[in-house]
Amino acid sequence: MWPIIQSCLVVLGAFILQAVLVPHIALGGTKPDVILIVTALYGFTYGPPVGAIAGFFGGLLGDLVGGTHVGLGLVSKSIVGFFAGLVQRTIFVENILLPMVAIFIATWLNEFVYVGFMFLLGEITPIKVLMLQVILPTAIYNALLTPLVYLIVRRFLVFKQETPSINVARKYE
Amino acid sequence: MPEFFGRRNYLILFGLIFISMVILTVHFREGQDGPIHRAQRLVLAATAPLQAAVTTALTPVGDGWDYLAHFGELKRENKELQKEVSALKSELFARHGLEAENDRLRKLIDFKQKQKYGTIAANVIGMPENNWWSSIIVDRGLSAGVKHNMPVIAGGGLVGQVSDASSRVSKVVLLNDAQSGVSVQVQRTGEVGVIKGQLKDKRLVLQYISRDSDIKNGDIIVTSGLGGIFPRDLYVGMVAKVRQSVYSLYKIVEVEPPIDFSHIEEVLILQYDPGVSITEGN
Repeated sequence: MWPIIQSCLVVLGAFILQAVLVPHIALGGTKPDVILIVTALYGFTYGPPVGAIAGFFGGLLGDLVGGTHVGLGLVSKSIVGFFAGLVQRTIFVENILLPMVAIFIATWLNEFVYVGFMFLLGEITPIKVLMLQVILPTAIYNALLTPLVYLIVRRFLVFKQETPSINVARKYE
Repeated sequence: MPEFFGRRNYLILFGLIFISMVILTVHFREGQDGPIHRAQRLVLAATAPLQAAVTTALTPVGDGWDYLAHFGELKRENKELQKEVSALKSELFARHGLEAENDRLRKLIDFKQKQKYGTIAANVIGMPENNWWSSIIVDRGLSAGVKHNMPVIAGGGLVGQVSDASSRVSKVVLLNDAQSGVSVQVQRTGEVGVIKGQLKDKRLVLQYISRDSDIKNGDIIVTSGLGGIFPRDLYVGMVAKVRQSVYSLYKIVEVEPPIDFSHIEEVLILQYDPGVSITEGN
């Protein structure tokens, strides 16, 4: 239960950063998605349920402050958190390059789910424009920002990795 | 079978997606006083002071960066603006005469003076935090007389409409939001079209202008007043590019708005209550 509560608290911090600071670090109009990065990092570390719940909570906060359709961010980030959790054993979070690549892919997944639902709601924008103007720059920016976010969040993520070894050590004391 | 293919995990995912769909549907169907809209206003009011503080703290840094990054461009722009000021001054003198003549004619035909609207000045304290929607947060809300759907002016032209207002702050959906659509007309020819935003592109797109139209660069685009969403004759922008696709029935017209939507600092909110929003009216 603790990882879920902890992930929601960290996502809340990411949301505050996203709402107040991220608009000021936009590059060429592209803003990174800190909530998505944190969600995916929690998915990689703790598995699908924690990733999905962290994504749901982050998506809800993001939609409440910025979304015209509250619910789209919930779906996309829940799915990203879940699938990040599925590959948790493949992504070794101590090697920063792999999470960067994984966040790049996670951003594409997030944006495609988001665009898919926007399309269902009648928001039709040419896919080429979306890919070149929004999805690709956001994915690159998110990937580049991942090491910094990871450095900040790492102290929380290490918690689970250390626990089993501590428990095992205590068992044999 | 590995744990991550477990049924419980998928049940959690589908449960969350189901709840999201319920929230999406409720938000879509409920009115402005519905629970999700109220929650949005609550979050808006809670984050606004932080956004205002950070915006105030970072503005000098941003201004300095902009100055350094665009120094050459600013110098050139300054020269062009000085030329423009002299041209406009001479035009202004010419217009004084026309205005006086216009006044006389209005009185002559007993023309009912168009109703003027009051304005509320507001500062921008927050910018959009994601790449999909284009909106700003301003420091005036219900207590200052701001109401849902009021038009918002900046840089001498229409920039958006109030989409949400709490007691002290309001959210404004900008014209360059991909969802917005405003009925406009070409001032010179009277042709009516719809102006749309195109994500991060600074220019707006004017749709439904017939391929036979003689619209050209420099034409002024103003609100048409059709549909009652905005009062008519609000300046929207100037035609910057006209293209014609071989297969299209319409011309592709790009419109340069009077202000860069990513650098709006102050706005005027027109006290005009249309009762319809730009995102509903397209």
